[in-house]
Amino acid sequence: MIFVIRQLRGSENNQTIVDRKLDGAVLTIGRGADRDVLINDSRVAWEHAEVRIDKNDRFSLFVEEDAGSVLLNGAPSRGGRLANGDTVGIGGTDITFRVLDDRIYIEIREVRRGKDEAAVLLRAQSHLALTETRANKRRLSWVLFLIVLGFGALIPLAGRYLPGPWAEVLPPALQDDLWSSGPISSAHQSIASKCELCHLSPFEMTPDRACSSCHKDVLHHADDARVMQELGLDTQRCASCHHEHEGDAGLVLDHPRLCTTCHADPEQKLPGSALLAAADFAANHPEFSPQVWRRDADDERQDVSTPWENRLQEEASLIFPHDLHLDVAGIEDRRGEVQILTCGSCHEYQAGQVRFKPVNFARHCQDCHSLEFDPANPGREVPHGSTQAVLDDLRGYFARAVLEGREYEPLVAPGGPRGRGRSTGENRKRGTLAEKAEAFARDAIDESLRVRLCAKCHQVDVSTTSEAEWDVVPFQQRPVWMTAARFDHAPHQTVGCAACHQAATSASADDVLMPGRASCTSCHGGSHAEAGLLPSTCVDCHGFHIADSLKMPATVDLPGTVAASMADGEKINDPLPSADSPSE
Amino acid sequence: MVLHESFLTHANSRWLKLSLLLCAIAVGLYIYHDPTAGPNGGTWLGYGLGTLGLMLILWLALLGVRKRSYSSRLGTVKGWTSAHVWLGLALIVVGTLHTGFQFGLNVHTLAWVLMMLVILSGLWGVFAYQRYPNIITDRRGALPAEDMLREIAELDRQLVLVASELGKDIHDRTLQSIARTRLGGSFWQQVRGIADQATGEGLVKRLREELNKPVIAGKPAMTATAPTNEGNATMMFVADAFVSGQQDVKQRETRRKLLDLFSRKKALVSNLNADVTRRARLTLWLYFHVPLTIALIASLLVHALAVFIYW
Repeated sequence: MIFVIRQLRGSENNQTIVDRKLDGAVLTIGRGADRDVLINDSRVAWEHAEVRIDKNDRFSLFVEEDAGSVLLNGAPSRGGRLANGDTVGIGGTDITFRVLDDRIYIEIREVRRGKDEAAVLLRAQSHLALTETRANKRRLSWVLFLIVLGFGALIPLAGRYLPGPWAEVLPPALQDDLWSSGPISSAHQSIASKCELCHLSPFEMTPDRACSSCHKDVLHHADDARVMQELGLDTQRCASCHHEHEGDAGLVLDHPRLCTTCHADPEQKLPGSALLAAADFAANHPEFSPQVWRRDADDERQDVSTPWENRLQEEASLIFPHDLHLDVAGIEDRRGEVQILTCGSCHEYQAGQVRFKPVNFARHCQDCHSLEFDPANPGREVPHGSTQAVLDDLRGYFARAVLEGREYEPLVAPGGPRGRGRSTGENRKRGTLAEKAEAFARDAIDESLRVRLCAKCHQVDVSTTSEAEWDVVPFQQRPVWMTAARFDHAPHQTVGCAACHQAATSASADDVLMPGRASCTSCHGGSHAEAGLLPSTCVDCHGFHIADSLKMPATVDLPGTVAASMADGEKINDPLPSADSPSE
Repeated sequence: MVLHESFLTHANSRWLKLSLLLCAIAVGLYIYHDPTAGPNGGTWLGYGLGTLGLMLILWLALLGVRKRSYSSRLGTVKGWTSAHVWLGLALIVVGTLHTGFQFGLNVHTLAWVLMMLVILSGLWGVFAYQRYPNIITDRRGALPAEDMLREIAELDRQLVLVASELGKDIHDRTLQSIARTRLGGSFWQQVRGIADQATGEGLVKRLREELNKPVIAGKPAMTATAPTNEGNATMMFVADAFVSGQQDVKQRETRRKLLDLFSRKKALVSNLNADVTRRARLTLWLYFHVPLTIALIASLLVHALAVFIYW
């Protein structure tokens, strides 16, 4: 490449041109005598700048590190690519580069610069504000914006809605788990990261059919479908009362208003309803109404809901004084030994300790209450439970006794419908062996049932139908008096039975030993309980899904739901509740 | 901390009062509201506070833009700043009540955290302006001292002229020092404070040593051990007193002039750099406030998407 250095002197119209040719790849500029372009100017460094030509004939300006900035086409510069027509200002000199026929013409012209140009140069190599540094708010903002949008929305969206391996490849922390607004309840842990099982379609509230794909045949609140509809209960969503993403606390919402919108004033919502108003367990709740037997017009026993009162009575058909049996000094058994009984001596927990097993004669009574009938044969007892079985047993016993030539004399004079002396009295003396045995059996059953054994605890009536001629009025143990509420004995064990059940002072088995509301409110407050009381809400005792047979609406199977994915053999850790066991 | 007609109390604290009222209403509703599922962003109050918060955030972000367009006739800058600060602070209450105090490791809490960071960085800005109240009214923009620059350039011109009389070496080194002069600095240099760069320290030291050298035999070399203090005219005078050789007098005078110019330049550069640092520290908060605001807007988009796509 040939440089032609052209020194221009004088004014535009009267120029002197001095040309000088130079062959090479580098053109040096400065105040030094050895420079190709010599600028005799005290502002210019000995070696100020160079123009270098690369293999492709492009040429660039390089300013020496220790030299001041130059003006490239009027703008402060530390060098860079040059093009045809570019002017480089150094000190009081302008150097213009023109390319023509493989030559670079370098026109050197002295100029007079304005006073501020030095300041402009200085300004250009200074960073006087943060905005002049490489830190860039706009760029930083965009980076943060894209990071948040990418990790928060785009990547999870891809994992959820793009086909392909995204869902498998991405770790959960990058997927829609990030969108979860709170902890999943324990009950739903097995499907915790399968968002799509509940969130069926985008921008749609979780529909009931997502719930009912597992929770099939959930019972309604009551059995009258028309009333349920009128009260608006059919239009409620599962999620109206069951919130997910709030841990275990939200799964069954316990806010009283969910119940009290109707139950605070049932008359308003359901005129003529037998429901009693209830708004708060402590402040506004009816007295308990246990189910007890009452005789109707036909003398039949009917279950009747009866307001609780102290010493509420129910026909029990049993002679059992709790006070006698719970005497702290104890009570003698059949052997004359003193036994101190407690509630647990007879009332045994069922598995789970919610309720109790029925009291059983053989297990709980017979230790003390012997069913021996023949003084000549202590230890031989009649069976418990059926008068016919007793009669059959006695017939067998006395048939053998008669054959063995033994006699039998009851301790108590026979009575009852037939009385002694008519047929039995005669047969005892002169009857055949069979007649004699039957007479002994009759006398023994008469004594046992009517006087000594059964009648000790049971009401025994003359029978017109039974061969035994006596009926024991059946004692049916009622498993639950209070049917509208759940009560779990296990967590209440620490307070002791006597805190709620007044058995120690009850002389009659007719006493309903269920506690009244006051017994509960001594510990349990309302939903906003005062200090010292346990806050208790409606659902602590009452369930919602308590209809006998009417089901909640909307139980539909859908592909893609939990049930379907289980059928596909997908791994789900816990078996989900079956349709037969709706939650209480 | 004395404020001169602070934007905080602008218009009889109108925006402070409005923000307090807004907070009081929000807190009152929050206490009154008793949702069946507990406080949550998804109740009517939750949606209400969320919408209000979103609108406030977008509006406040626009206020940030408005504050920079000084030509607008829509209210005063001070008024907008006052509204921006007080309504921004009210967001702490509005936004936090919107969460219902449900926090977790998710995109929703991210939005809250970013909002709080934006507000905190904004508070930093408020305190920064409180510390340097005079700078807020300085509308010369990013250029703290055009005059100082012009003065430095003029000193540079004189330095070259004077140095050119002192031979190639001193001239070159003077040019070198001018070329290396950097005012201000990188982001962190500006924030941390700028060490003055290349104002001819080596040359100054050499010149001073030469000046202090006694040139006439028999005279005590007092200045050789005298403490040197750049820009100390008295010192120069003492140094001059030792100059007696007639041929050296002019040279020494020139050197003294060069030294004087260098020390004036150094003082100017120090002043300017201190000013640059002060301004950098004043505006540093914006490098957090603005990007975090944009990140907050992104996280609000994500928050709303996540809420409603999985309603």
